[in-house]
Amino acid sequence: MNLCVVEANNLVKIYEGDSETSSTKALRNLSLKVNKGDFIGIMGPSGSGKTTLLNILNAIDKPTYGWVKISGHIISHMSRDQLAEFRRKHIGFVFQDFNLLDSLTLKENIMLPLIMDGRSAEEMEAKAKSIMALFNIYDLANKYPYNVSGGQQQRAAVARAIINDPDIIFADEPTGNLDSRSAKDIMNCFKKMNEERNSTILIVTHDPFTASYCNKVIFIKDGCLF
Amino acid sequence: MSIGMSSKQILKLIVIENGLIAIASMITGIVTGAVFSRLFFLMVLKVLNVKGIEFYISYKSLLLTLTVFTIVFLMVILTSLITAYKLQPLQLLKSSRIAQRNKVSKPVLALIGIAMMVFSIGALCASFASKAVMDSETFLLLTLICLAGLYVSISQFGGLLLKLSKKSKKFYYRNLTLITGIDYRFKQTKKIIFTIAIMVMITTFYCGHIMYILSFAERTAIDNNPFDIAVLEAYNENGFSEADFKVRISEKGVELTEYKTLEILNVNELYDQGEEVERKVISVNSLNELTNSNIELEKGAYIRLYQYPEEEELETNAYNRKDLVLKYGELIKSLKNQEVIYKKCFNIMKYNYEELLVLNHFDYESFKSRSDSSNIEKMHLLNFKDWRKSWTVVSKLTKDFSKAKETSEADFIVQSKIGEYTYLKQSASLMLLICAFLGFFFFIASSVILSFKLFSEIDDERLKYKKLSTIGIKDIEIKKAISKELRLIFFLPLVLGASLSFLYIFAITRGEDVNTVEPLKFNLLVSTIYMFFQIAYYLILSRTYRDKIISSISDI
Repeated sequence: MNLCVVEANNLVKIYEGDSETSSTKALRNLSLKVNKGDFIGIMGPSGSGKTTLLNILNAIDKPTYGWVKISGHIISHMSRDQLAEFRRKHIGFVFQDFNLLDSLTLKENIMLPLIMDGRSAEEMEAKAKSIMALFNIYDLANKYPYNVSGGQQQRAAVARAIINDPDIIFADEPTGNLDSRSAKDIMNCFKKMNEERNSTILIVTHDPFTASYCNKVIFIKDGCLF
Repeated sequence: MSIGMSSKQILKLIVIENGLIAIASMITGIVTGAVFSRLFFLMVLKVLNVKGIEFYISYKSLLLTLTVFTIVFLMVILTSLITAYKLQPLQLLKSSRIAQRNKVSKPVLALIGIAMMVFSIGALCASFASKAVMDSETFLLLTLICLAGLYVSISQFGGLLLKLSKKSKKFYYRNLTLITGIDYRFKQTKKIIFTIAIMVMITTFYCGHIMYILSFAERTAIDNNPFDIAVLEAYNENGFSEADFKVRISEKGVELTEYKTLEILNVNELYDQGEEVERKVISVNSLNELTNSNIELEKGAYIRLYQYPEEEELETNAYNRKDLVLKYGELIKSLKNQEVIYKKCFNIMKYNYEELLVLNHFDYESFKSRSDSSNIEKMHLLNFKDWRKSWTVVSKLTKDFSKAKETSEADFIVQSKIGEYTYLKQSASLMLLICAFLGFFFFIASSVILSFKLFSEIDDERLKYKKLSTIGIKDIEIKKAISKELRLIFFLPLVLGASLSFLYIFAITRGEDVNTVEPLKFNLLVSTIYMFFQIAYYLILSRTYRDKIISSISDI
């Protein structure tokens, strides 16, 4: 029996407007379960609520109603600092625009979660080396983000997301800013992670090509799953 | 460029934008400066109780200011134009992501910069200690080397810190965001840090030095004036007696404790080439009476009296001990040197009486018998119970003698301890006020420049910390990182500037015979006061800065 990594229960997210009539319900009583080893894609058109869902699952945003449990911890009850610590230990996140720091090399960007966690230099270097080799970016270790291509930056971002062996990896349109070849490379990386390391991955995308790599695809429309 | 704007259009944009900024800032600056000058002038007049001086702004200074700043703005426009033409659109688009790089980036240059500063300070120390006269060109050159070293050190500091910290991977990774942040910041703000360091150096140097002079005013006045009041009387056929003086100087609360007179003759020293130079001559009897000593001087001999401390160079100079020939009218006497005395015996009257010749009383009387009021001077030397209360006496004497000068050919010079002390104190106070005022403006200017720089780039910092917060940085870690970076930027220029001014004072006082610790103490005092202001400003600004960044992260 697979372990449940993420459980979302009756999530509602309302964005308040200037009057009652102009408020927006981005999520409507959405429930979701993600088990260990799942590689799930959430597809939906623009404005369907998929990014809102991802932000709430990642604890970047809070639901108006409902709760989210990750690895048995209800994250909606955590303080800002508890959430920060939880994110660095249990969650990996890949953004559409890579989110790498321009003042750090690719290797340093990849090691950031471990650095924040105060791990030893030897452990960090060993892990960074093996992950960079896995994604074929070891030669780019000392380059800065603005000196490499989009695909290489995204591979570094994915490497950063998994270096702390998170319970789950969230990805928000990871191929959105990439050309088709780079997109293929990135999705192969995710596939590799899922198959070789049994990583649990949840990808939000509107691109069918990206979704085709997932083991399971869930559709979202107007804040509901169907 | 990327959406199709032509080079000409860009040129026009740059010129118009910068031109308008230049004009607006020059007009605002000149008007504000004029207003503040007037206010400052009124304040100075009030504080120093000076009357009869009118305020005016010289057209030359206005023209010079406009010229200099026009040149500066033209250079800024030119730099922008060259950058716009030189770089490709892609490079310009990426420029905000790429950290500003030094044209030459070698951490070892930081060490060279430090070596340059050490060399220049060392050279200054050695030069002043040797008491050799340093010309202004050498001083300027050494100062330029020091400042160049300072700039190089600051610009390469980030790179050096990065290189040194990488030697310990544990240390480097633990402080990764801080060290890379500092490296990034220093490249962005090196010119500002350098400018602030120089401002601090100038302010603390001058304010500290002037405070020292001010504190020293009393001692200087006492050292220069062995007698509380000295009145030199020349060309006065009638002459004043002791009784005359006692009448003139009687003031309530001012008690005369000593009255002496000294007669001085003006005779000529005859040189081999026939040249004649006027010398001041006194009798050995007068000197003994004045100084309560018992010097014996033979007929046909003379003593050279210097009223300042002995200097090695003068002592070995053969000129001091040479025989000389004195002449007045038809009387010519050859005299042999008996000795050289270095001692301040009476007031030097604006340095005119630093060097005198002492003659045997018989020789002196020979010259005096042929003299008249045109070459006989009389110095009245007075001491009071409390010289600090003698200002009214000095004022009265000066007034009386001014009137007397109008009706006769007599000349009177009054020099006093209280006069010199008041003059030194007033001049030093005025200079201190000006320096403090300028220092305050420098502080405001540097604070404004720094805050503009920090807040104009705050969006980049927000983005950086937003990215870090998605990975899992805590608020407290963000606050610590920001505080550490800001502390370095706020206090490093202050430490550098204050240290350099301290070392300059140290170097300059190497050749002094007096206490060399006092000037350093005053320099430290001014630096400490500046530090308090900087701490207050840091606490206010850093809190606002941190709160703005943290609140933007909360808004995710």
